[in-house]
Amino acid sequence: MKRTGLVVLIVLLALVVLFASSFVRISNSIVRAEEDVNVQWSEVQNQLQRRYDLIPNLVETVKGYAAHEEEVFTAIAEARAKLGGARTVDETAQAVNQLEGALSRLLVVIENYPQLKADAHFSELMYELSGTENRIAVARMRYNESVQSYNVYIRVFPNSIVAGMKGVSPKQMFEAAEGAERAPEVKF
Amino acid sequence: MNHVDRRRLPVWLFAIAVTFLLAMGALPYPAYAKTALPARPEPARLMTDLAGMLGRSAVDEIESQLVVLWQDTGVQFTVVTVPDLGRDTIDNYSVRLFEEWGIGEAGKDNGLLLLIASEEREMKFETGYGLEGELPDSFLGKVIDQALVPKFKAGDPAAGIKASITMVSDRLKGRAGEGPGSDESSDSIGEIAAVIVFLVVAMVIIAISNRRRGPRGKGPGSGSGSGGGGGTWRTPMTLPKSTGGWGGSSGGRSGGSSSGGFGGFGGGRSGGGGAKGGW
Repeated sequence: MKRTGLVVLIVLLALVVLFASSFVRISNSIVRAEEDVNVQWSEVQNQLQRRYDLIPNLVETVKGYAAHEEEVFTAIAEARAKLGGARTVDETAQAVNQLEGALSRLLVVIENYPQLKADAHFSELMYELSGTENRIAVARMRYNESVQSYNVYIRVFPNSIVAGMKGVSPKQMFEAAEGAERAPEVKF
Repeated sequence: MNHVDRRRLPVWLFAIAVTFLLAMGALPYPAYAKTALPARPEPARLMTDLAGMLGRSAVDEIESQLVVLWQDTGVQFTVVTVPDLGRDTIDNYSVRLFEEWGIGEAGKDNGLLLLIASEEREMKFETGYGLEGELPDSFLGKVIDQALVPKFKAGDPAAGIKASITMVSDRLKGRAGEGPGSDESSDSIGEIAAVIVFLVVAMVIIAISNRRRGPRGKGPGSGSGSGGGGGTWRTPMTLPKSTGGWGGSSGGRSGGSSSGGFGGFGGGRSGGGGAKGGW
């Protein structure tokens, strides 16, 4: 009888140790996955910043040939200011979509100015903008993939128990707005 | 009978708990299914003409031009032609191919991919993170406009590719050249040294514990010489189990460069930078 008690005690102890160790392992995996999401998000912001910095230059060049297209320039300036003030993923996504809409209109305007398209400085800027659009698309895709991995990881059993105890919640994907799924197509 | 069952109960509980916990640890991270990409060339090459649009001698000439550039600057400029892109866009395809092959060295990310899709008549430069400063998108756009597109339109793609390599190489040589994989090797020497030190320490500890256990063990018959021999021989076989975690992390990357040809891709990454065009 005494021996049975001892065995039960040892088994219980072993169980506690095993549970604790798997708790720690899952908890650490969650931290790593979360950090990965953060890294990918900062890459998205980096690339958005790159485009943000390119825009004034581009607008100035276009103004040299198409000064009276005030409406488009204003729309771009507004969206750009909004992006500068965005804090959350959702706010950023909204501002980005607005900016992409305005940029698309700018690209339509450009079609009417053949001399502008022949400008060497302008064509350099357009290559930079086009490369940046692709960088944003890649960063955005990688961010969404990392968010998806993270969200799945914290929601499957038994990780969900650990996630519940840590109080972590699913993260927000970077979604494009209706009708603005595609980044502005840069063609010239 | 009843008595025996009750005594076995904790053992069963224990077994079930262990199985459960092992299953917990084995939960995989989700993987993403994507359309197939061409396999990395074996042995490693910088020029891969999967579309068969260049001809054998041109492929060899371009390969040697690229190897020279790699030896001079360390930059892994890789040219790949494919018959078509499947249903993918060239932007997506090229960044995926870049990452799948790992063009450039890990950490330096000094890879450059020129992808040419024969059926779509499109081309794309994909820059590694580490080359974005030296080869800005506007420069690569200029290479496409001035070197590639005119020759492709004229029906001489090989000449276009050669001209583009010359333009890139001229631009890169404006800086101090460094050989390929210069500081990677010292890194791996450090890792090997750490593993050896660890193994030696582990062997000493095991040997000491064997010696302590020795007299209490098998009996008076074992001589000290043969006992010691047995201990040291057993250690290498028992070690891998205890150092399993280590072996995995220190495995690292083998990028041994053979003389003459290209040494192999090193796991470089790209963030989608570059330029594209069509003909």
